[in-house]
Amino acid sequence: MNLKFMKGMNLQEQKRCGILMIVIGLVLFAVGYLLDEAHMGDFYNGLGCGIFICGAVRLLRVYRLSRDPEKAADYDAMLKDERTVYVASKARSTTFFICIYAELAAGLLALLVFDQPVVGQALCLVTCAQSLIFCGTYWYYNKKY
Amino acid sequence: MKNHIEERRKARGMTQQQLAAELGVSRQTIISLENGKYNPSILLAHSIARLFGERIEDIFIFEEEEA
Repeated sequence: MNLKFMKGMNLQEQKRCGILMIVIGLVLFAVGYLLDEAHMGDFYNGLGCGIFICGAVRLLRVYRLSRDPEKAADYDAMLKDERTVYVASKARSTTFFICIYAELAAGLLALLVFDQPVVGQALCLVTCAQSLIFCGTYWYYNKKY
Repeated sequence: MKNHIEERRKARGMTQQQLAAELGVSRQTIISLENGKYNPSILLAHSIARLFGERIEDIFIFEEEEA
């Protein structure tokens, strides 16, 4: 597993990622522009705009940090900081469990209350898949450590 | 876990920012450590103790109910 990616990217990597996102955003926007509505042109337009804006915001942050070495050092320290990693890991874990229960509740509601068997089955399947992945990763880390 | 980081830091005339830089962590980590909100890893605890020239158990106060 790429732990460096999980801990965060340094400024150079952030810059590259920002440029890549801008390019992908522009390409998707152009694809959406060329496609008509029947081929989900609006969808690709919207997606392209979103990715472009995320990339631009990332580049702007890199630009601001690169002008202030002290802030850039603080930012780098923050990415490697064990408390930041701990907080992010805790947040991910909490998000995962909230999502599992929310998906299960939504799936059961779709099946039993709203009479939407396809949606309900899909949500229940996703919940089962996530639970299985959790069991798999738990088994892996239990062996590893 | 309670600890003596704040008093040791002040005794050496260090700011939280300076201590954070010495340990390679963020200032927020130092604030959380001093308030007892965050328990450091054994590596960070070791670095803190070594920086102050003391043993880990002299800096951190272990209480039975925390175990």
